[in-house]
Amino acid sequence: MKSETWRRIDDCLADALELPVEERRAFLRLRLGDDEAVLAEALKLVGQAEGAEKLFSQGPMAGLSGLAAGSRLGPWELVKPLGTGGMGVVWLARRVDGQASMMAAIKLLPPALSGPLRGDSDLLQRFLMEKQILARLQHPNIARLLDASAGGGESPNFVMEYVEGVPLMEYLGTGNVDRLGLFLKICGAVEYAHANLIIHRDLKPQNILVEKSGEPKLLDFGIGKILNDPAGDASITLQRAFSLDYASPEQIRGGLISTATDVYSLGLILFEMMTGERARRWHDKALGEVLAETERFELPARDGLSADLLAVLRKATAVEEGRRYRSVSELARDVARVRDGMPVEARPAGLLYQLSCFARRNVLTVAASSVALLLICGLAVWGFVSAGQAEKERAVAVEKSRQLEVALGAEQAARLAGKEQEELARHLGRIARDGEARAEARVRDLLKVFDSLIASARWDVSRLPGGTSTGIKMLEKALSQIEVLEPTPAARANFLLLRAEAHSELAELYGGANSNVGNTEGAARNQEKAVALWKELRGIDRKNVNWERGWLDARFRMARGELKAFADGGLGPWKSWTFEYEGLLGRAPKNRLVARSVGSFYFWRGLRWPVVVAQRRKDWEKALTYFRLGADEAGGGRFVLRDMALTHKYLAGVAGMEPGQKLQHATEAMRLDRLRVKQDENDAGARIDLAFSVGSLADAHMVQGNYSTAQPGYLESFLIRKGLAVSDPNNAFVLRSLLYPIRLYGVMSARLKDWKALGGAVKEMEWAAETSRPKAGGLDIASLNYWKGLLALEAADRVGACRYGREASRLLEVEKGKTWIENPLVLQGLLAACEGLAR
Amino acid sequence: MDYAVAERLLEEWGRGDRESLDRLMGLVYHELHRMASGVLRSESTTNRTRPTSLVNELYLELQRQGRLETQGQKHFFSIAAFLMRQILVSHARKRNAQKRGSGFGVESLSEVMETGFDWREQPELIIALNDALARLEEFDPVKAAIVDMRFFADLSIESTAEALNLSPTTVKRHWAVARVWLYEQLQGV
Repeated sequence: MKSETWRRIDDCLADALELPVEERRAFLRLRLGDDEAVLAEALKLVGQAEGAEKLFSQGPMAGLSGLAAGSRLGPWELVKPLGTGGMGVVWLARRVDGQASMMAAIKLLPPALSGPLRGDSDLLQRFLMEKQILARLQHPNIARLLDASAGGGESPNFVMEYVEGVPLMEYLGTGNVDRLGLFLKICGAVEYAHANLIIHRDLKPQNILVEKSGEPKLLDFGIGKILNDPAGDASITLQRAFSLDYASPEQIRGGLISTATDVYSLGLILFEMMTGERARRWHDKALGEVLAETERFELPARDGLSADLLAVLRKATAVEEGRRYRSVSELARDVARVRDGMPVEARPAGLLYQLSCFARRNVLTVAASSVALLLICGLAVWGFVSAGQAEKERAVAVEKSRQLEVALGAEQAARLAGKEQEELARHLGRIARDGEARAEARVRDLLKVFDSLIASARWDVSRLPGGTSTGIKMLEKALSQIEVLEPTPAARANFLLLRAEAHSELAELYGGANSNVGNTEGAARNQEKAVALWKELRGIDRKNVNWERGWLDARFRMARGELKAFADGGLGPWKSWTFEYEGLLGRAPKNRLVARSVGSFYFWRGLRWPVVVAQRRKDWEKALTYFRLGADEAGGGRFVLRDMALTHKYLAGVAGMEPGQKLQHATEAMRLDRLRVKQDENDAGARIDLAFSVGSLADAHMVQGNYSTAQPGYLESFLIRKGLAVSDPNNAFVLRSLLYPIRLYGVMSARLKDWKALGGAVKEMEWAAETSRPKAGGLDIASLNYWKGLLALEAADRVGACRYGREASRLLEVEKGKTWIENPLVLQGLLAACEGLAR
Repeated sequence: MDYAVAERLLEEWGRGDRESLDRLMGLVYHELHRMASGVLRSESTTNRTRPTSLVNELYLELQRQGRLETQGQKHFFSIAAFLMRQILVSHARKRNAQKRGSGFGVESLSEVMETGFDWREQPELIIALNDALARLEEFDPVKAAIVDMRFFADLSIESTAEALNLSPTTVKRHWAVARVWLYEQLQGV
């Protein structure tokens, strides 16, 4: 074809093909009407458009180069691709295995990875371990990893929480956004991950989505680690799992990765957020060039950036890791200071620098009155610079002003003092007012942050398996940071309240009923602090019932460990506690929090004052009544459910209770605990409780001889504990409680002659005997041998049966002196059967 | 293999000297061939778990091996797409030799398309397409290159645009015209 002719056709045809079908012919006639031959050719071609589109819609490799919508991947069905990245394709997926309908984003990695993962089981193990760690990251600003799989011939993939949001930079374009505030939230998420020893390694704006609510969500946490484990086999390092534009020098060099790596990337992200400009574009540069540039890269100054912010950004992106902020929280703190107009750490001159600016502007004024300097320093203290730092700066400032005075001469200073002093007074007055307002706002901010910290230590963190120690760490760190503050008078009560609550919470975390830490010393220390703080608070306003309640609760919590029954049956110290609690109730009979506190008191009184069984039962029934009164308290529902379930559990165990009532209480306890687990599947505390209530219901059935009803209960109780022990191998509480339910499951199975179940019990018992801490004792091993004996007997293996039987009776002989046996029936049954076997 | 055509495609590739280009072409051809024949041999299309196109995959693989340090992704895509076509055509030739005799008319083409169409089942059509592309290359090499990338290498509009230094809109326009022209050419097969 002649090239001019083709160019004409090509041009018009391309235009025509962009038009609706019915307009194309008219368009071509209009444009090419002057040349019959060309027009005919173009018309012929345009008529083929529909067929052509169909024919070429899927190339020969298309079917093989991508997953199709509707494909299944485990329980997930792919819906549509969400995008491609350097590391693979992300699909929107829907859960289709009958579970609650749920959407997720699935990241599929290049299949080249499946080779190494399939071939090397070590590598696969590490992949799965890492996945478990990541799955525990639960933070409102982090997209959760729901699952990950590799091997088995399919592409390695990560199933992540599906986040409906827009990419960070796009979001910033939508209007007026508090950029620093948003950035601080991002920092909060990264900080949380760091506290869990997880480094992101590939932070970039594309990995941060912002939801409609304005909440940022960080994606792909820690996936870089799985893919690029420096300790791991190099063959898994498919390609660099980070983007050059946001990578830190140590990443580019292939050096060691630390939290400073994320600090660096955050610096680049903040720069982009503030200026709308990507700090650098290196992704298509040659590696050698990048290596050279990374060593001298410094963020440029820009109009939108204040000197302070630039200093912060440069400190975050220092080439040497040692010169960066030591942690994300330090970076965040400085960014918050920029936002609040406070001096930043990144400029070491800090306050002094500001003072010298002020001094430069008002040399004489300042010289005239070194009081001014002191005042400003005072403001710095007021404005919550840490006490030590302010002290140092004040000293320097005073020294400086003295030098100034000397230099200028006191006489000259005095001469100029009159008029200038007046202005100074006005100036200082303004600073003081501003300072106070700012300080107030800052206290409010701080307290707000702290409040949410307490809440998250209580729920978001500590309810997770293994989260208690993280919760303690978070709270203690936060406490140490705010304890140095001097709140303004208006903020003081709030300040005290939060600290008091934090210490009470810490005491619970250290040694409470659901704690898996069991550190009584830590618990006592915090209880003491809490009491002192509540007392101070109460001193502010005695009419405040809630503070009164807090104080009473804190004192009682500290004392209750020591309170016991009294031989004479008298009330003893219980009398005064009862008096105090009833008094509080009298002051606020409708206060739900008070009702709950009183309920809790009666629960403890019933527990620790067990002289008369009837009294105990009455106390607990009373406790239930008060818990019900307090149950509708907004936000307190979960705690009340927990307390009520616990009380029902105890009531089910009260001696002398009619069997029917016992069963009723046990069933109610189980119902409440199931409700709690249903409300929040991640609540490890609720799951532990459920394990126990299912177990005690089984106990109630067993005592009545309903072995077949008890048997599955024990199994469920054991399996819940096993699940918790596997996901949290450091949970002392769970490890301690592994043996009981599985032993009883075995006992039930043996009595029911359910040999298949007994075989299962033996297997689980062997696992539990090894896993539990302390490890299984003689009695448990004896049971194990006894069961094995029974099973051998059933299999007509008389020799084996006798061997196991003898071993069991030998162990029981050793254990004979022990009085602690859950159920003497078991022991007797064992002995009898073993003797039978041995004969 | 027609190095001359490939060279024309890669004229802009300033950095690559002739020798390293040759070596790379050889390597890419070999690898693509290995990967493609694995895929083409398997008849089952139900187990589609490849997240990314073969060419993308190979790119990542070569980068992992450190063989693509200085060359950019776009140049690689140009070569690979061209080679992909060679591989598919030679595969089609082999298959065609095995199943002679089933010609294609205008009606049957539309008919086949109505009932679901798989290029891998139509070796003669791939050969005809290759011939048509050779003609297209004579007077519009850019379109031919786009067809290689979009159709044979299954690359996205965006990747294609980046590799050829064109805007996505331009690629879309070329691709639309190329399709109708090729379809027209295939009518007579």
